[in-house]
Amino acid sequence: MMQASKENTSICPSGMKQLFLAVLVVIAFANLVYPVSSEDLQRRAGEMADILQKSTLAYVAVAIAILLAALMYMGSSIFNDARLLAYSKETLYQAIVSLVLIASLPAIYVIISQICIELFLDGMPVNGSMFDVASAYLAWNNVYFFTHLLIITVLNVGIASLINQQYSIPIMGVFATVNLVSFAKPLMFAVGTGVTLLSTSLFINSFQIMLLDLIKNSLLPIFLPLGVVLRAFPPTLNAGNVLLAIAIGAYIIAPAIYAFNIYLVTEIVDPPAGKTSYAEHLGLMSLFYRSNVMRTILTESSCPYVKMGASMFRPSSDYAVFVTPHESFDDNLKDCGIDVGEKGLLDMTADIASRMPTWAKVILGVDLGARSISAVVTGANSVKSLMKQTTWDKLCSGKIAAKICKSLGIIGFVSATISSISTAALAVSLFYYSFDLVVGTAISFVILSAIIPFLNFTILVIFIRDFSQYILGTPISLGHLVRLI
Amino acid sequence: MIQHRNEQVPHPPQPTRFAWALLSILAISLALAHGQQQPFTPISQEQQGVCPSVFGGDWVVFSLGGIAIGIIAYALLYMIGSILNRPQVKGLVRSGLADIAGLFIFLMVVIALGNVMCSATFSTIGVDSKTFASYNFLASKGIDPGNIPLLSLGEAYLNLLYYLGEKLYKSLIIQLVYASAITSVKVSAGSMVGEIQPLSGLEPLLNMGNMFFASLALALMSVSAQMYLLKFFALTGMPLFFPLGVLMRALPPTRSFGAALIGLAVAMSFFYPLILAYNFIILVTAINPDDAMLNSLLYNSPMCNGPQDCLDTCNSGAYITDTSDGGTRYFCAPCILVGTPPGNDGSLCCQKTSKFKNGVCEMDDSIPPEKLGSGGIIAKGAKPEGYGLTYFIGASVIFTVGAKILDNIPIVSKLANAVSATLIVLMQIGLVVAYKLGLGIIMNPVAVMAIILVFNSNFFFLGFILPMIEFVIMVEFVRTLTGSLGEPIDIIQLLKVI
Repeated sequence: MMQASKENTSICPSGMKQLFLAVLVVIAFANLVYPVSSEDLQRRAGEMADILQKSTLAYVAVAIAILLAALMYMGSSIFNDARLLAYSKETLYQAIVSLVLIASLPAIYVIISQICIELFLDGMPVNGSMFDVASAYLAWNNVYFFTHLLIITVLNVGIASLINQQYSIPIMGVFATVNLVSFAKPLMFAVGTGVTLLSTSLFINSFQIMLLDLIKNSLLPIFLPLGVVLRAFPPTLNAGNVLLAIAIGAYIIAPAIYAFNIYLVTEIVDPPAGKTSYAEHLGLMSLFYRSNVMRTILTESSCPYVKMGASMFRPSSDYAVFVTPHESFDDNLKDCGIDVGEKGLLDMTADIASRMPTWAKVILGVDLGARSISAVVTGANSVKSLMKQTTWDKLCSGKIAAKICKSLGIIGFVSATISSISTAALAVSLFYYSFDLVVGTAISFVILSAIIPFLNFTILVIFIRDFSQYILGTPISLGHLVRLI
Repeated sequence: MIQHRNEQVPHPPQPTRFAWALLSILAISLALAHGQQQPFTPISQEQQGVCPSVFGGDWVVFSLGGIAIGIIAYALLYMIGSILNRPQVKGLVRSGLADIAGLFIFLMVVIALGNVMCSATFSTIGVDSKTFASYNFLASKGIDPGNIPLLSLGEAYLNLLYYLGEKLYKSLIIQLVYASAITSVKVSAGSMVGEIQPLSGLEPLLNMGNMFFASLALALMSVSAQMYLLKFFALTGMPLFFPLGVLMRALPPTRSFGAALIGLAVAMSFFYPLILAYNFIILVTAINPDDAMLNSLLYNSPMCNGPQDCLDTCNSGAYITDTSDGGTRYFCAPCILVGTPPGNDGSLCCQKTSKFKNGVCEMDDSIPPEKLGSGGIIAKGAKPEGYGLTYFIGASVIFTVGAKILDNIPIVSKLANAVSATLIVLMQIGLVVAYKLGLGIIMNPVAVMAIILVFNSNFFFLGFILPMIEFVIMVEFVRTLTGSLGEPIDIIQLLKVI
């Protein structure tokens, strides 16, 4: 995994470290003089305390390394061994470097967090640490995917109920079959693909939640001390460097990446005035990722889903929030800053129906009328078959009744034909008017589950690699890693 | 840069005799000190074999035997060298004996490491297991990570993971069967309008569920394979490879290969369980594996607190007692069991917000809308769901199955056609005008499938992705360790050969 050699270690320019330290000093100074509110200071102090608490074992490891150096020094004095002396000095030097890295981590983290808040989140007073911001964003993604999945399934059930059927139209005693599924097939295919994409998105997003949890909870308490201990021994110095780079690098960069994600998504969905907006092609994304919604979920604690965080899909009774009656679901979304409209977000039928032009509504009415007449004709035919001919003739004896009785076959044919044609037209119009919704699933998959996670992973890996190579001096060969995997 | 100083680091010093003696004493005292710690009961016999014992432990005895054989071999060689008066042979013996001394120290260090791994726990190293998010859940399974030795923690982790995976697998099966059942409901509308499957719109979700099976099965297989791998490592690493490695290392012609075997054995027996122990930490700190939800899915019903509470809150008015995991948990009896057609017994179909009166479920508006965990997984959700589902299934039973059974009675079948044709139109009108009727039915399966999907994602990460990454780390560790001891073993190259 690590390919350390003298050639490799000389890759780093000698002035790089000084430059890095100089940049750190400038940033630290800027951070000190930058005016902040008391809440901000409190948040930063909390974050630093959290990092310090997680790094306790690493400080113990540094103490062990220093102790080891002292023992080697004593051994070198006892045995009068110059090599052992050099060895002890090197161990001490590496222990001090480790100590500097660990001790500066809280400050570096807070500085980078602040820069991210200023750059990507417009300086908003976020709730909690940057990891909380990242968790809120990922939790919100899950809410979005779930809601989309629900709505698209509602649409599909609607298609199945209204269009997915077969007509048998009676023509002179023979039945002509019209399969309306053919009209609905493109839409059903699109919906099927949408469900697959959304489910995959949910899968990928859950992965990211887990990775974030992993970075937050287990890197500093485990990788950091292990890395420090390994750095104390020259043969395992490179392994220690890699662990240290993973622990510190990932801890610093991971939350920053998600702050950048929030910036990226809101820029796409809700660009500043004067820039081209693609919101109308983004389906539900344009509702969920508006800057005011993101502000609500990051700064206010009114959104129940974000309050639950990643646990909303986890085993707890609270996950009931997803299966409450949908009016409550809409209310919850409203608390998260979503404009659900008067009829509610989930009532897609009402939404689609309200967006339909008059001609489409007429078709719907004709369709339902024709179906009703068909049903009545079927009923009448059934009644006729049950009655004696004389009774039926008596019923049809009136002037109008006689005409209706005579035309039963024709009425059945006409109503079934009209019904099938209008249903087909309905299918086409449904496809037309739900196009944005269906395409929105594909676009949101591409943005939220393909491009952004890929970008995140790349930034994370490159940052760790460069941290290891340029700050700690151990190059990590990504090609070698890929070959191994 | 920080590391450029390394270039000036000299090679490790050659220890003097005094240093040798000091190191030996240190290693032996380390081994003895940890060997006297409180004994523990490892989870399995296989793992028990890995733990050294000061007065026993087969691999310790065999390893010491290997060293003794090496010393005897060198003694014989020395005698031959003296007889033949060959100073080169004597020199070889001297360097060989120095190597054996080093090997002895290494053996002591490994014994010490084994003792630490077999006796140290989270509590020993100062980590309070009660701070783990899932402490209570684990405790209910009889697992307290704080009291399990590091060596056995990996085994406990795999067992726990398999338990969760198996439960997820069963839950997925039940949910898919249920979803298949409701999507297959057909409402026949006679010869004029044909038939419709109102809930067939859930089919894409159902298809996704089938896809989850593939990833879940893969992850389960991976966990299962790791369990057997751990057993294999425990049976072969220290009991077989290590003593053999020590013996071969002690003999001049096989020194290099012996060192490689030693490195492999240490990696298999100690490094791999340590990796799994790390996974356990991830599991209990990051993933939070409370399986109440899985149980809830598995039994297709919500949890309730004790018999009286169950009788009060369960729609079905009945409960299931689950003692499978050691503790006692209560679940509401499901409202609709898979494969069981809805009966006329109201207790099986009423919602929590409705009561069975006069043969029907009557809504009681005074009761607040229910949430999951009180109404039954299948029959929970929006108020009209129970009616909608009952209607769909009832219509199917009466107008499809009923018409076919009574096909020989023309009057009945013709009437059925007429009535069903009218009803289907009414139902469609109802769906269009008030889609809320259908929403509850749809919302629930989507929510449950989404939850299963997220569980599945977590499980796939733990069961497949993490082991894959750790396999790479393991391979590199073996290569580095065996390389530093003698001949490096590159498992990837070996796999290529295979």
